[in-house]
Amino acid sequence: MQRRTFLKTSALTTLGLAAGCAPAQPPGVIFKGWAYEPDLVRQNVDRFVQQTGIPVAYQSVSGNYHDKMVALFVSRTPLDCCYVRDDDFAEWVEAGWLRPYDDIPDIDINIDEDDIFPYNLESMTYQGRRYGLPYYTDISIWVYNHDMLQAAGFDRSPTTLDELTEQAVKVKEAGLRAPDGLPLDYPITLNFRQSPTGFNTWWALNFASEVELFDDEFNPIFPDDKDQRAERILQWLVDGINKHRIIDPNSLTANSSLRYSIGAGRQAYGLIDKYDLEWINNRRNSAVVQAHLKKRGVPQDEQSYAKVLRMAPVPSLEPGLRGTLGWTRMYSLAAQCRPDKVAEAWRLMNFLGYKDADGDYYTARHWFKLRGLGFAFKSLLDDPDIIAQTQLWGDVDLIKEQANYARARTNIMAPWFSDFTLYYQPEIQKVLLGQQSPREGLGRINKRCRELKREWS
Amino acid sequence: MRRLFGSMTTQERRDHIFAALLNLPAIGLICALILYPVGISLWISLHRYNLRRPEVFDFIGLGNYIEVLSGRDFWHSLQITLYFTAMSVFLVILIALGIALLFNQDIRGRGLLRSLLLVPWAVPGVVNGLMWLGLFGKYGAFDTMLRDLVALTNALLGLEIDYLGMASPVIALNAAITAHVWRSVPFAGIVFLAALQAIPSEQYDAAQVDGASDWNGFRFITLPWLLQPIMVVAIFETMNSFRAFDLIFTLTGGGPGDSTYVIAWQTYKEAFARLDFGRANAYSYLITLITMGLSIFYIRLLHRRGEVQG
Repeated sequence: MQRRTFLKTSALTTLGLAAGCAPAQPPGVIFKGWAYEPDLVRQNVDRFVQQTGIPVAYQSVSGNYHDKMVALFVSRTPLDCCYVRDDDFAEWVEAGWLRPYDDIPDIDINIDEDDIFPYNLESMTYQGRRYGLPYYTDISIWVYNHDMLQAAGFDRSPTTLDELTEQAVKVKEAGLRAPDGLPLDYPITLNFRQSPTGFNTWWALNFASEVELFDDEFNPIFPDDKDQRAERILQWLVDGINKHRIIDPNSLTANSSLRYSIGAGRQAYGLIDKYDLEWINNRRNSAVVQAHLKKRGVPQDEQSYAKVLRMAPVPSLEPGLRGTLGWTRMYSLAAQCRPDKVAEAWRLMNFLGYKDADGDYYTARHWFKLRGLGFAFKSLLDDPDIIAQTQLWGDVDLIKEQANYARARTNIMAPWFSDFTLYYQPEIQKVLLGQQSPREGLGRINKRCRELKREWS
Repeated sequence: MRRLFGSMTTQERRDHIFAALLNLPAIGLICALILYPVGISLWISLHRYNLRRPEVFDFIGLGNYIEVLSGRDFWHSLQITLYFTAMSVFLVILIALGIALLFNQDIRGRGLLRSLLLVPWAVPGVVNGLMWLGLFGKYGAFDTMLRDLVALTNALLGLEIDYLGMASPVIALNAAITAHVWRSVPFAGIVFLAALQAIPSEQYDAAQVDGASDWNGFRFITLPWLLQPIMVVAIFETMNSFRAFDLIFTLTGGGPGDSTYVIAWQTYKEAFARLDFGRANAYSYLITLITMGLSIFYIRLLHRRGEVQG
């Protein structure tokens, strides 16, 4: 081969390869979400396509969703609609990666906001603009093992933290064992592992005692909040771990969801997401329920659920308080949504996060039915099918009550929320380990919040 | 050009130019994949650049470096990393050397054992972290052993030591080191084994004739031959330990408190949690400088000593 011919062929091949490697844009709305049950998501998307004729390219993003999405946003990868966690919401809006839906031309936005729980609506709104519609949402609930409490001589879960200490000490002294024979060393395990979406327990305990951690302008008001409640709650946790030894120190590092440990009967009390209540009361997943039903002689195929692991209001500093934490996962339009796809992407978002063409909360109902996922719509809690299903494993009235009292994290709309998360979690852990007092820990967090606020103002 | 090509004939000159042209794509690729990211990373480290406010890209010179070096986070994570690295390098060399010496003997099943030695090396970092979390986590084998050991010590000595498991900063950090060492030993073992097999057997025969003990044989023959491989392993392992991130991510999540905040974890948090790419790149360059400094130290310490004559 001639030298010149060789060079010419090489150049042409390189150009050809480069052209071939250029990404082809899929037809329809590009929709991405984290990899939770992608097959079920696809079912919902298929129904949307069937009803509207709008094609959708759905891709589930495996691995660390936040980091991968940041890469996609920064690289301006084609993307029209995506899942967003309330933890990341302010950060993504502030960075200009999401676009509000309340200014789409020629689109009639008709959302009945009165039917959405306030904490959900608040979590999807930034500086008065609407950005999201709910994918799923839930509240943190207190659960207790009814059989264990009965064996220790109690018939109900405690309402205050002091009462909880007394009860847990007695449960521990009763020498109870899990169905697999392991001793119950610690009646309580909580989730205090550091994670960008973690520490819900801390918030739930504070909200249960009606602690105001931040004011409306995101100024921290602890440790000198009303009656120094934030400090007292931390002190209760410290004592539970180090003095009374009723809280498992593994609470700081346990990696997996507490539902496994609760379902296995390795703890008597815990704080979980409400949708896990269905999972832990299902005999397929729960050794506790299996043992309970077996003891009562209920055949395997006759009954799947038993309400052994029951929900109760989160124990608080004083009796009669009912608060808890609520969080939101939502659908949003990406800022890089292609102009000719905005209307279609909105219709997809409206279908998935609100109502289908028949005016039904189809996907919310679908998720609840198949996986027990929580929803943001008040009226669904009056739906006979949903009530009937919930009563198999939960308490509809209590869920309704807790959902109405639930609050979003008070500073979640601060653009520095993720910096705050990085700082407060290790500081709280140091308090729990006894490396600093609750007052010192909260004081340091307060100082850091003020610095962050200054940095971001 | 004349000086470059000297007294070459026209044909030879053409051949050289053609060879250079053929190399251009490879050089271009190296520039695109290595030099460009390294350069852009340095450039970003000299700017205030947070992805949450991407419109702000102000040149601040060494501002990020000064900020990082004057904060507690860097020095704290450096302290943890130095402990992590020192323990890891020491243990990896010690264990790998022992294994290499053992596998260098004529023992039954040596081939199989050598193959098995590679297994931990093939385990991805995240899987390694999760596996050791199972072992050190509640009800894990090591957790149970440590719990029983503490209980026994308490009973025998009348002490009241609390066993916190992975919630103890000491156990968490050392568990991370254990997991890291477990995964790193195979590579070092293979390097040492290869070096051991290159030692001429005549030297041992001569030592035996001179009546040298096994220890002296190891000290005066084996060890000098191994100094250069030890240097290679030490440099490699130091860099590896400074980059330990996936293990921390899965095993401890940085906790308890900030007891396992190694410098790579801190960099990750700056980049992906705070989205502060200016500071994160400054962290990366500081890590590079530190590992480079340590490598020079190793080379000065071991290189000349490792020059042996076969």
